Amino acid sequence: MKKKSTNTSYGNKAFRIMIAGTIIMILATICTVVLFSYVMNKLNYIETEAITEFDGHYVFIADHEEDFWQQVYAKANEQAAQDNVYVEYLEKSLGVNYTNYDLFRVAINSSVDGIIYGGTPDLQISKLINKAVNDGIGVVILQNDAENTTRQCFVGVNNYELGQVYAGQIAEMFSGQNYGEKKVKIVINSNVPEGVGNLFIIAMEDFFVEKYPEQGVPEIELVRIDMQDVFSVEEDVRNIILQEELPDAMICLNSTFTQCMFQALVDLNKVGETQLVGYYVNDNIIDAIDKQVIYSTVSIDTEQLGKSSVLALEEYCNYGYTNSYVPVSVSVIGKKEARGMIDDKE
Amino acid sequence: MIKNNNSRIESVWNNASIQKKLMFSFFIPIMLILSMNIYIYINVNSMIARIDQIYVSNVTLSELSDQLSNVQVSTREYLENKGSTALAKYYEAEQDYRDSIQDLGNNLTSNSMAVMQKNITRQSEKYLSLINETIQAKRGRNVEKYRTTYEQSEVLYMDLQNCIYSLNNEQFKVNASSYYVLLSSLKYMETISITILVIIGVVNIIVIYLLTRSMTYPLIELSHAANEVADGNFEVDIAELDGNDEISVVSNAFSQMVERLQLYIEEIRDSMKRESDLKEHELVMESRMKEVELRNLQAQINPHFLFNTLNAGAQLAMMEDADKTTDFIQNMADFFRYNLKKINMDTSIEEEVSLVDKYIYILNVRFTGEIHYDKQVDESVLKLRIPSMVLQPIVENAVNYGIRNIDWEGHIYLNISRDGDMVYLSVKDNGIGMKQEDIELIKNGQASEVPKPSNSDSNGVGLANVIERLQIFTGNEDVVDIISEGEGKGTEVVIKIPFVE
Repeated sequence: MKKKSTNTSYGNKAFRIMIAGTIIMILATICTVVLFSYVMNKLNYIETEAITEFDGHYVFIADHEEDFWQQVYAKANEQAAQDNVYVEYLEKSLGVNYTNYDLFRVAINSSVDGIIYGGTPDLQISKLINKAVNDGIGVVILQNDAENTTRQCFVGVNNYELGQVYAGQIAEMFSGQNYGEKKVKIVINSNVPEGVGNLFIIAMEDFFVEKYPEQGVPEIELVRIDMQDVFSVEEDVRNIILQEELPDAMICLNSTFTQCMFQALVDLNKVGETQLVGYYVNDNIIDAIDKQVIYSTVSIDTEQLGKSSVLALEEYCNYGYTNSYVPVSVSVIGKKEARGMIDDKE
Repeated sequence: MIKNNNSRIESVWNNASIQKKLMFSFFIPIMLILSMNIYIYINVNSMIARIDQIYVSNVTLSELSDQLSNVQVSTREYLENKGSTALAKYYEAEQDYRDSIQDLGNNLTSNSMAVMQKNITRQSEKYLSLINETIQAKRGRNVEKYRTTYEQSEVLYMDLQNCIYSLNNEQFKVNASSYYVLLSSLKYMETISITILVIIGVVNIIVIYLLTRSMTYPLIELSHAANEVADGNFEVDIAELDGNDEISVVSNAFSQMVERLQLYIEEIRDSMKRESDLKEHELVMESRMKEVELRNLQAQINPHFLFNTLNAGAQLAMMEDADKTTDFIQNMADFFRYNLKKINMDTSIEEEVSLVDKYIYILNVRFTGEIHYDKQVDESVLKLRIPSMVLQPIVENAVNYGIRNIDWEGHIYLNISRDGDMVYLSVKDNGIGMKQEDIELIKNGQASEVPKPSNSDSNGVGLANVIERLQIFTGNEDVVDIISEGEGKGTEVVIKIPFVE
């Protein structure tokens, strides 16, 4: 009988198959565990995002639809974060349509450490400002001062100064012409107190009287647009262009008006029929200036506005007092500056 | 070190029983699949629990809103009717709301919802304080005060409801996005689980298939070998398996069994061959006998007629008182009868000697006493059985080839002696002797090639026949010695037979 040499292959083969299979299955199991752990860790990470505890709580009240105020808020928040203070954009966080007055009330009842107010301080709000101060809450007013209140600080441009800056733009626009023949319309928010509007007109008239006494003073008219109803703003702006005789120049005193106005001029083919001086700076406005749809714009330094407001509040919270007025610089952006900004971007 | 461990594990595996191997082979995959399933089940469960938890915060906020309404409503009820039931209801609602507010938290963090919670908590404190003032004013019947504070509380109540609503909304947005993240994670995990389970399942099937095949392969080989063995082919390949499992044991045992079977078969074959050889010898013997008989028949055409004739001759001689003739014819008759009767059976030495005596007598009558015959017989061996017609052919050869044609006096010496277990039957003559080549030819069974004298009148049984029968009878090749010292020095033929009692 033939006999093969001792055959161990049967046992070894089975053993190797067993070992190889087991290793593959263990690897698959490890892969699963790793993948699952990865998913679970990712979820845990999402669920437990880094939360910072803050020492102070300020509330920012301003029209959050406006780019301008959003930029101011961003800078204010940036500054506050450095001092471990949280700035809450109250209108944004509340899902209901509250007026500035309501927001102010909520802020006071929430016992916050400070309130930064960027709206128009009417009589009711002035009362709340006094109440807040009375409750030990620091109040900083931006842009439109509430002089008759006990507010701690006003940060912004003096409306008189701002009027003179705009008047400078009108003078430059119609340089060499008789200003007395020119009509200028100023588009402002209907809730701006009458005094503020008048101050603005006086500042402009003073500018022409002082600087160009022989060329006359243009006819300056205030046009008030109600901003409570967001959708009506654009319609109102268009109505100004369509229904009334176009003035020689128009001045828009907030960013929303500026953008609505230049868009309406383009849409209604009225570019060139009137000159527009805007307020605030963004890419659209810069582009419009470059194309001379907008003659120029006046820009308030949002960074300075936001940061100064927080610094003033901190000073008040820490020491119990602060400067009652912190000025903010204003810059004018004309065609040349706009071109420069576009070039810088490119 | 690792290699040692491997070989140790391998040897443990090889020595394990099939049951253990199969148990082990199934145990590991099953345990892996089981643990995988448990792991997946736990993870998926925890994820589902998380999904369940997602909207709990919304439920809590809705409850908070309801509790706030309860406070406001119960306060109003109390203000309207100042009943103790309404007051109790108010206290209950106020406590519930206070407890819920405490759970809400008052931390100021970067999480916008936590900030909103803090606002709600602070406003709630003011609200509850106002409500409390209102209740106290009502108790004190200070109508003006409770009217004012209630109006203030209503404003705060609306603010709080709006804040809770806003928070609830915000929470819902976050929860919804978490829900989608969890849901997509769950689907992802489902895909992973199914993929991994399929991989493990497929690998498992492959492993089990290969494993069972590698285990059953020796069995299949064994069954093929068994079929071949059943068909009578013992030259089968059976791999000798290492290890101590049942298959190895069965395979190796089968291998040994086939080996032994083959040995037995070879032994049986040998013994059958021996038997057939023996039968062949017997047949050869018989054929030699037949040959002798045939020659006798050829020589003596009708022995019965011859015996009867010779007996008639003997009686005639007796009636004529010719004693010598009577003896002669009688001897002749006896000689031929013996020839005919004894050829196919054995006989005693005594009878053989007697036959030689008769033969010598006949020859001496024929050749007038030319042959001098001497014998020396050990009587103790006379009864020993030997093949018949052994001595006479040798004596005949001694006469025919030895002393027939010599010039000197011819002698034949018969000597039967015993030496130990051997009996020696010697027939010696002083004739012409033999050449060594002729002796070899005769001993090798080629006696026919030895030249015969022209006047040979043999009775037909040659020396070769005698040697052959003796060899068959004794089973020994060396039964006859032929000794001759050369020409003219005679020849001696010695038969060697073992002595049997």
